Amino acid sequence: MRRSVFGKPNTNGAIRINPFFIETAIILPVFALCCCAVLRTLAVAAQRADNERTYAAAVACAESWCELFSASGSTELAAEELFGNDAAKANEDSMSFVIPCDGLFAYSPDNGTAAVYITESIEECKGNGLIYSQLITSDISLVWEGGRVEQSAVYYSPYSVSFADESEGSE
Amino acid sequence: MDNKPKAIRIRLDSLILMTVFAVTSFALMWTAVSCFKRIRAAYENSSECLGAARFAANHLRSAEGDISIYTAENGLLDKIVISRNDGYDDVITLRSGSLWEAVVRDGSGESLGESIFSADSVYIYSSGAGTVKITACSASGQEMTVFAQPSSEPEFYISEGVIYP
Repeated sequence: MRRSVFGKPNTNGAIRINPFFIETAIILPVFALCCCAVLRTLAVAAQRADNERTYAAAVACAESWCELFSASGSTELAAEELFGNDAAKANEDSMSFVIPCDGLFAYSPDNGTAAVYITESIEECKGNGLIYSQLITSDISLVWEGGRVEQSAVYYSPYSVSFADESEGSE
Repeated sequence: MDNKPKAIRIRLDSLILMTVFAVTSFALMWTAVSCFKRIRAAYENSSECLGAARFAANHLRSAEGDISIYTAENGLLDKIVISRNDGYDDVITLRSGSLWEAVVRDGSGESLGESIFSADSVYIYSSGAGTVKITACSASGQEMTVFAQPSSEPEFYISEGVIYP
């Protein structure tokens, strides 16, 4: 009687299926599915751990920026301390700029996977027709593929001498 | 009548398939467990690093009295002593891969206290605009940096008894 991979025919013509073929046909796909599920779970866990690490770095960077800006009122000094001289010099005298960074928010102009957006605004404090100080607000946004962190910091800068508010007089 | 017991035939191909399957399953499980352990360690390390840096930063920000920071020449932290107004000092020490906090009577001997956060090393430097730069590193090489403005200007001292990681 001829043997085939599926089985060998009986004397009455029916084919007795080879058990090895049954085992192979059932076990291998199930095993392949299990392997794929496990590998997929590991990949998702690794990606999540990486995202959590980036989030922790973003929070630390945002809080540090706010601390530095609140202490100094200077965007250049805060950028120099956090991101280095190159990042500070590339964005000198700007009220709004973008710093390309890597996954841990270190300055990376060539291979950035994340970005830091910084905007600065100045509001003058007025009272009784006089301008006596200014409030400098710095907004920082750290953006990467898996999330976003935003914070604001304010620096109060009083003038040594108050001066008249000319805008009130013109109205 | 034939009373001979029937011989159990084990098919060789089934045996081979089962052996291959069992070995491959064990190898896959071992690999999965190893990968999971590394992922969990990386996740915990980043949280502990940030926690350690923020812990030190928060204590410096909320200090009620004088702040003394003892480090090695490269900035590796030995201890931070924050004097309180009630005759006690708040002492934060880096020992055995952890940040320890103790409250000791002013001028008394050292007490390690309790372990708060895991950190292989913590570096503290004086930074611009009256801030300090605190960098916490884990054993796996991860590091987190936080800037803090202490409530009073800290005094930096070089400590001879620093234990390097």
